[in-house]
Amino acid sequence: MKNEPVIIVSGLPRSGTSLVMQMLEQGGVEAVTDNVRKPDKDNPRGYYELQKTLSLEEDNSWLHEMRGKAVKVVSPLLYDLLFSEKFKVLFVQRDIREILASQAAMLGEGIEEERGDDEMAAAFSKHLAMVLDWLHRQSNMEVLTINYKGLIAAPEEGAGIMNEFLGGGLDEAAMARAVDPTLYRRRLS
Amino acid sequence: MPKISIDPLVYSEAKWAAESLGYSSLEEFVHHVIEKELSKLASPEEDAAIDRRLKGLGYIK
Repeated sequence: MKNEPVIIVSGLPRSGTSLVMQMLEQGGVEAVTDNVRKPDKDNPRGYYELQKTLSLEEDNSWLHEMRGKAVKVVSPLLYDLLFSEKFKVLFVQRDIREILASQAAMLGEGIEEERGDDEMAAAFSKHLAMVLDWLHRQSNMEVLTINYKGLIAAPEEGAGIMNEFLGGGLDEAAMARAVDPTLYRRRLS
Repeated sequence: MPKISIDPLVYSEAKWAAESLGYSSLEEFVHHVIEKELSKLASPEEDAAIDRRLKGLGYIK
């Protein structure tokens, strides 16, 4: 436990991070959540969030206690992780248009947005390129990128790759069973 | 005009690349490369738009 890296599940909101947290939990990893945000129609199996991650900039010392456990951290907050800690980052990627559609559904009607989808897609794409470039340059972080669509299509294969990345020992069959294709609702085709 | 220092090896490779690619000068090549890289970065307005969206979704404070 002492030398184990902290497992971080990251990506843009609505990219599939909660699904990866569920898979890890089913596989035998402790998925840390405070359950402040309750399951709802947008995420019926739960958000797997930890409110403390929203304040990483002010206090990230608690990350030491997360060794060997999985914590969900949305991509813009990754820059606030501890330099002195080792991390294994599972970074989920999904088609930006699907992410925007899912975010819009979550925001609901009546939310004013200054920018259209094309501009938001461009902004998010640049953000992702920058954060992934930054991640790969961090000596204390190992990164596995996970394609959400591919994970839904081949959960057993995805579970195997994640298990190998994390050093083995996880229940891959249980991880794969956590994938419910019916919850992939904002697909483009 | 501001000046910057670069590694001599990078300098010679950049000089070769500028000539090979048909740039009129090394300065023109370096200017183009930096501009191209800068265009990949999110602008302050784009960063602000992302912040607003994620705050709306409750993912950042």
